[in-house]
Amino acid sequence: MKGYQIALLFFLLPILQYLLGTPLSIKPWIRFEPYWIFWLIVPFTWAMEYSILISFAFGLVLDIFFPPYGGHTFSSLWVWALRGIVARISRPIPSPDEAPQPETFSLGEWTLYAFPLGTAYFLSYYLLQELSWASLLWALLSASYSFLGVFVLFAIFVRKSDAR
Amino acid sequence: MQALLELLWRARILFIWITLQALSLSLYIYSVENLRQRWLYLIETTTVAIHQALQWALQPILALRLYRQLEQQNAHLLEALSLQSEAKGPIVIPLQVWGHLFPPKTYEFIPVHGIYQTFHARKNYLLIDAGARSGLYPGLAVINDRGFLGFIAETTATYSKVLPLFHENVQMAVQSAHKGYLGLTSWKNYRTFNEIEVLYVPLYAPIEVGEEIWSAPQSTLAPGGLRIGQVVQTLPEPVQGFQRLIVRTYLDWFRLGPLYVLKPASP
Repeated sequence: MKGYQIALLFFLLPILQYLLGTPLSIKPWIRFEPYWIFWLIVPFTWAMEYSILISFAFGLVLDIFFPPYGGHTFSSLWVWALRGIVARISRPIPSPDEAPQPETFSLGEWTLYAFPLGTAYFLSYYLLQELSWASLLWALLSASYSFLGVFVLFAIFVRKSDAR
Repeated sequence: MQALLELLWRARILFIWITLQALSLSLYIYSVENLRQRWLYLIETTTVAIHQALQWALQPILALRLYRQLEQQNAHLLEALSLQSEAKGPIVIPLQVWGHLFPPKTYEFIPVHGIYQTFHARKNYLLIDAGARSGLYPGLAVINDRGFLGFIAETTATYSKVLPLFHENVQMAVQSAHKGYLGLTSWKNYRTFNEIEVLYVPLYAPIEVGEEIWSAPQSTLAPGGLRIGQVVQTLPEPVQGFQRLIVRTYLDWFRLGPLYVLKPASP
């Protein structure tokens, strides 16, 4: 992903989420929140200090749109921390110096990469607010539902045509 | 020092990550004003749920224990009330089972439970769950909170057989409450539950419908003064020189309720 594409997503995703999240959710509990695709496609080639600050800032922007403040930031930092590990599991890379490139993932690899991270994101976000079995269940269902949106976004806008 | 700085520099991402997480969590806790209340609510609801589950599980045991306690209390209360008859003067014992006739002795009230009873036999009986181990022996009177039931005919270590008034071979000396005319109960020719015949009442005795019948002091089966029932019909039989009474018993054979054995208190 190029810098301008990331910047575009940075501004557009919260707005799209704000506009589409409510009408596309299955009320009252299964939510549609595909904005976490942002953290999955921030390039691994960027310096870590830079990417962590961008991720933090994106979380803060989301928090402004969707309070309580701090919840998205907290969960996004977990996604940021875990995504390298999950990406390497999804597509093992022979050299440790080589950075994974999500945009070159096949749809299967993307599923292996995005679904666990999205689930972790939802669990951390909703269980932070309410620790209950109902919350756990709805977080899992919301993660599954939102993954469909993430999958479509990836397939149409992010995936390179020469991906495996 | 330089090594330390180098280590810190290498772990800078970790430090940044922890700092940012601490920042976002602080922001979250600050923004969620009722986070603490939610936590306390969670603890409270969990505690309540655990208590309710325990209470639900222990409910039968607690109820049974409470029932036994109440039963013991009732027995003590009955004992205490029966002791009042020793006082001088015309004290009316406020106990449904006793008439105004005072028992000559004091009695111990032993709570028992019916475990089996017959309904359609001529020789009806009741089994109770106490026997010789509880200090029972044949001949003791059994009552419930309404009136006289019968007497113990046989005992084993843990069970006893009670013969009620509704048994064709049971006959007991009774008397009318006001004038004390004597008679003898019978269930031989008049087999209706909750009703008995009283035979050999003098023809001249002015007994009216509604009068109470008590156990007579002359009875060897029960202490005198136990309420048995009310006269519902008087049947004069001039040929024989007696009148026959039909008495509806206070005791309901179909709803016995709590039972007590009257045992003479040891001096």
